[in-house]
Amino acid sequence: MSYTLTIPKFEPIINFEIRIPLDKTFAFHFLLGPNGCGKTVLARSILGLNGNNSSLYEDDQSKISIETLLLRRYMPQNPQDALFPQFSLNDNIFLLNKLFQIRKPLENKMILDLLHAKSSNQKVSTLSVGQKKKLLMQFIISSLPTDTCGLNHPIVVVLDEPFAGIDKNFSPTIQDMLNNIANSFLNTDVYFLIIEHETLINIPPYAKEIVVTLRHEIDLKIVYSNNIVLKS
Amino acid sequence: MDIISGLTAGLVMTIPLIPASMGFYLALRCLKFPDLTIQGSFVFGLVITAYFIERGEPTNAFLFSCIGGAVFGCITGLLHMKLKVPSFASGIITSFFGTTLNYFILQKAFSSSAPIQEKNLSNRGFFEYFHQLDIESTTLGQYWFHTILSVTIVCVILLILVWLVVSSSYGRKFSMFGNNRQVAAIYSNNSEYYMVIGLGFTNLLVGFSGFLCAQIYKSADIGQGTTILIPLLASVVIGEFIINILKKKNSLKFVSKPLLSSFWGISSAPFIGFFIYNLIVLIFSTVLLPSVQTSENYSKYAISGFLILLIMVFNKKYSTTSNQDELI
Repeated sequence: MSYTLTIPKFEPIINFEIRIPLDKTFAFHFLLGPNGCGKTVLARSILGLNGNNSSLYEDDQSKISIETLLLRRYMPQNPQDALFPQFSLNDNIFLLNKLFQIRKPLENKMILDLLHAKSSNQKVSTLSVGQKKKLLMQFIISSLPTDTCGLNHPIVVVLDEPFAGIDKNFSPTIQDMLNNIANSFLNTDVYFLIIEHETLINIPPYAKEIVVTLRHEIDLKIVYSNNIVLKS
Repeated sequence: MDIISGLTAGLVMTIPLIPASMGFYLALRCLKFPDLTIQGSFVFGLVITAYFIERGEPTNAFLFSCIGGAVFGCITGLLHMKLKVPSFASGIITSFFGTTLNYFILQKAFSSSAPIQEKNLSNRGFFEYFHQLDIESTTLGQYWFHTILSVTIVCVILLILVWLVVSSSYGRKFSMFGNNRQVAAIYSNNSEYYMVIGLGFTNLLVGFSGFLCAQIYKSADIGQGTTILIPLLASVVIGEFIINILKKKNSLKFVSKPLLSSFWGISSAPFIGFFIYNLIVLIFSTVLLPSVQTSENYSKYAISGFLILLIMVFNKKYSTTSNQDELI
């Protein structure tokens, strides 16, 4: 079964309906383009966060509400927008475990080791951007189902600039982690949408590409690929 | 001795307003909603209590003041979330609606043909028992002992209840969706529901405060709604300030932060803040100003001047905060 994401006309940014076919034979769907081409707007529209009623069609027939809770996993450009900055790390771990409905809740110690943080009582607003991204990405990945057979609806994972703000030493780790995870969900109904700048990603020759112009006549490329390869 | 009993009496009279302080604090900090509905829901609590007490039904007064307050809050929430009315405007609109309703109820309560602004009640409802114990007694101490005891018990029970609600799983969601609404949209499609129910809960506390006030003051005054806002706002700032000092213990820093992580802080800050604010006001109006033989009309000037001075001194000496927006 194949799915198509449909975002209705959303002026002044999108002045036409845009349809993005999801392809399960590819691990990643990249949204690439320069600043201002509408990558984030498109991603947020896909997730139904821009107020317009985007939807998902099964084989172009039956419509699925994009706002179904289990359907979306989102890491915004500023990870703080998906965390609770005024709460302590402890409270954030507790809440994210609940919100992502993680069966085996992540433990504080594991998160502290991952973030190299000293205390779980510190407020999340005091963490660096990179630490917040690691925290959120860990929860997003942990929340993905191990068995995709019984999946009722497809899951769309949107990562907005996952490599921005991450130190150079850790970027390859994230790159490998995403490659492993996404490829393990190949041919399943878990789709990874990655928003990045074209200058950062190497597009392999086999990649499939769609070009749309959302605004300002700047091209936005939707690239289907099986690997994230960062430019050195 | 007279000064102490005067101060104690003054403080006791402010205890019934503590639930309102709690409601206002939760709305402002947990839901990030400057809730002006309290003007309407508080007075609704007063007038509906007056209505039922005049009919000898204090239990109904309790139920309807709480439910009425909650309905006021839910209306504000729905106006804000569904019709996208700005937070201040939605509170004001509900209060306007409430004022008309309140005049109508008070008129009905005393079977008057003309609207009533203020009226004394015939008895003290639930607190009548305590009152009757020594209503005719000349010993002021006994009277205040019973009043303090009864009202304090009510407020302590309330504090425990609010603490339980706030530290529950629902309470955490309630404060987290208020704390970061963008997050709410990402994780849940029911965030609007939490906001509406949250405002209903905070205004339930305000309505309950109106219920207590009507009985303790033995009167229902429509104009009282407008006079409670500033003390409540002051209690938020002072309460957080005091709790932050207590938490840091040795380092006295004027870093007034919302106490969202500390659930005991959420439930105790408005209590402490409201108490301290009223103590400052009472010391000025009953001790300091009379001692220099100044008119009581000038007390507000003196209090505001004192608060400005206090904040300036602390800011200059200890301020390390970069989050000025968090002060209120």
